[in-house]
Amino acid sequence: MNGDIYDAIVVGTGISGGWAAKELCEKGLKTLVLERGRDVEHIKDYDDMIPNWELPHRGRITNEDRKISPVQSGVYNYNERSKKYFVNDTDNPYIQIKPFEWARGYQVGGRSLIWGRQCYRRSYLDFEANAKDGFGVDWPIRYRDIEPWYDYIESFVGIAGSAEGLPHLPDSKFQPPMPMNCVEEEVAKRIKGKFADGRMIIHGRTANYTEEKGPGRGKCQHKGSCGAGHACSFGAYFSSNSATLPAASSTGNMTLRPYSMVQEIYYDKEKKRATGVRVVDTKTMKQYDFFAKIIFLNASTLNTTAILLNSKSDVFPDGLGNSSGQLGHNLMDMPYGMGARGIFEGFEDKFTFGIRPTGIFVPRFRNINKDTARKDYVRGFTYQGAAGRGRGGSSGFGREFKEDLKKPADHWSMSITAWAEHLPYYENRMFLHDEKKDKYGMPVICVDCEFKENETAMVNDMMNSAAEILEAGGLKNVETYNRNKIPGSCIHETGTARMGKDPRTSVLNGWNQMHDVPNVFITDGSAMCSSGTTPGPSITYMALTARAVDYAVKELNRRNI
Amino acid sequence: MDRRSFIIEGGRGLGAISLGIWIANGCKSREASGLNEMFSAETISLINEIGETIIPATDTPGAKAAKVGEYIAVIVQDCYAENEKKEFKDTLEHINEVSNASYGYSFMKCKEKERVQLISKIEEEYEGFKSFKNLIVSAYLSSEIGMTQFFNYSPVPGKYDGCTTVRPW
Repeated sequence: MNGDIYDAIVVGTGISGGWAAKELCEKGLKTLVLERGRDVEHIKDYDDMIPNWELPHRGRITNEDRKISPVQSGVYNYNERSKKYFVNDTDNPYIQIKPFEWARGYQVGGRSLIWGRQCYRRSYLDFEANAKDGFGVDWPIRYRDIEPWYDYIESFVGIAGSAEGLPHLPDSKFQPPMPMNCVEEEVAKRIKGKFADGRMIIHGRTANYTEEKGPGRGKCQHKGSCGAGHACSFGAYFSSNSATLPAASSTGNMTLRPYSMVQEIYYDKEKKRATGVRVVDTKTMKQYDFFAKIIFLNASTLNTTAILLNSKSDVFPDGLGNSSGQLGHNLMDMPYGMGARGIFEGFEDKFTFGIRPTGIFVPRFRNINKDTARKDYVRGFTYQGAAGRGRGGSSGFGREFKEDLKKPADHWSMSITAWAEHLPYYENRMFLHDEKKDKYGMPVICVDCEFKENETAMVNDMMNSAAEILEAGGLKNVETYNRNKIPGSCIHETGTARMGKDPRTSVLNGWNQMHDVPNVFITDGSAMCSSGTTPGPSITYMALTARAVDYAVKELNRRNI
Repeated sequence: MDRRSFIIEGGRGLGAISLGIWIANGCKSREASGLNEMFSAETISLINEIGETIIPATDTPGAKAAKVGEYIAVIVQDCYAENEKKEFKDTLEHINEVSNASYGYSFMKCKEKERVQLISKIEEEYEGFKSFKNLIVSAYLSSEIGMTQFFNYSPVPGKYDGCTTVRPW
């Protein structure tokens, strides 16, 4: 087993690793797919069909959970059923130089089992932003470069949404959208044309299928499990487990090896190529070496960069492919959690049935052209939200109290919450601790990241603009909020091995290929030059992955790598 | 109380599948989160009886049938912070203190009418009762009885209707 040679190695099985595996295998490469955690087999290993009352704590988080996993237990969809898809913080420590919530899922499928599923293409604005305002380095690609790859992957992913024809929010290849409820529809109608800056309410775009996608990938049954972080036995949302890994496996070219933590990439200074990886088996603690012609790193933003920083040699004393000194820097997340809520008078005889795994969306309306330019900040934000009607309150006790527990709330309510861009700052970074190691012998990651002036400057506008939208839509008792989320909690961590045109200031070129080591490709969040304004970065990682594999295999066949 | 018999009792509502989860989650045994580590069988009965006064059996079963006491014992022990545990215990004690002061015997010995009077008084006067009552309600509504008999149960709705006149729960 030691010293096995493959055509390609993929490190990580999350949303981008799954795509790398699928594309490489379908192009005929014998591919070793390494995952540090256990295997999770689609449907067979899920427990979403167990009724809640059969769980010992009916979903609640225990004191023991909080003790073992103080960070993971604070993630929005961590609960008694989903916790098996989150890491144990005690066994997987990291150091927060500044508060940073790092959600992690170490198993086959990675965080594609617990992701938020929202999918929005980045637009021309996102790819031009760094060049225009000077933050970060210019993206080496433009929207037209990635557009055909969005088209390519989206037809396989399956995204419910509505075509709107907005240049700053390009349409995906859509399945029919999840319907708006009556209040959302009414509010959307009322605000239409009311704002000079074009604010509008559209359907959320989500990788939950409204049409069948093939074997093991059924339509959404609206049972609410994905929103709670549970895998779906109907296969009704896109994950590596339900979609890309089975596709990769069906080619006969994939060797999937769970419990395989990559700690180092080997480099041959004569050939100027990476040769393979050093793996620690997380079950047996034994070390293995595997070799390949090309390596795709998809271990998630911070872990991919940690592997590179830990791969030191004479040529690269500061980490593999780090001649620019940028590795670990320019870490971004997205500030979110500012918004407004209100109540709606009307539709008191109406309810919703079934649980919808998405909501409504307000596309960006700041800094999209001269008329919408702001003086106080660059870039912008979008909103996600929903209207709903739950149960009302009940007072007293006894027979009447019990019956009143069924009473609906007097009114519908609606809220919208902002997700904003986080600028790339050199000082926001991760690095490896000099001495501390985890139990597998890997140096512990330190994270030093914060939101700065531009992010702070948006906060009031995000709250007030939300209130304006709801008020224009006819909502009453509108109030604003700021949930004061710390960096990382959006789970959109990106940067740390950025793309760029210039090898002196970036780690990867426009094909996600390392400037310094041409047979290493990085297509997870670490490749990003900017966070982008819209949430849902995963769809962009997927498109970049398919594009990079196509390029890598062509280069391999041309014998350039 | 015999620990073993309690485990069997507690196991009835849980079913074989969840037992697998306990093991998978690495609990040493059912006793590790067991019901009688923190609360006696008498206390659990007391919680059930107070629960029944708050949510009585009507055309659907009440809190006692839903075994809110058994569930609450686990939740307070495993999920509550120290100050919340104390508040919960204090509330239970307070209920019996008021009962003793008013009637000369504990809540368990009170007749239904006395129980109603007692809870009325405590709800009005005692701050800690609010969270206690919320826990009873959540224990009832999240139980099998609460979810399938008190509410309409649609584990797999199959569709989303954003504008229906039928109350879904």
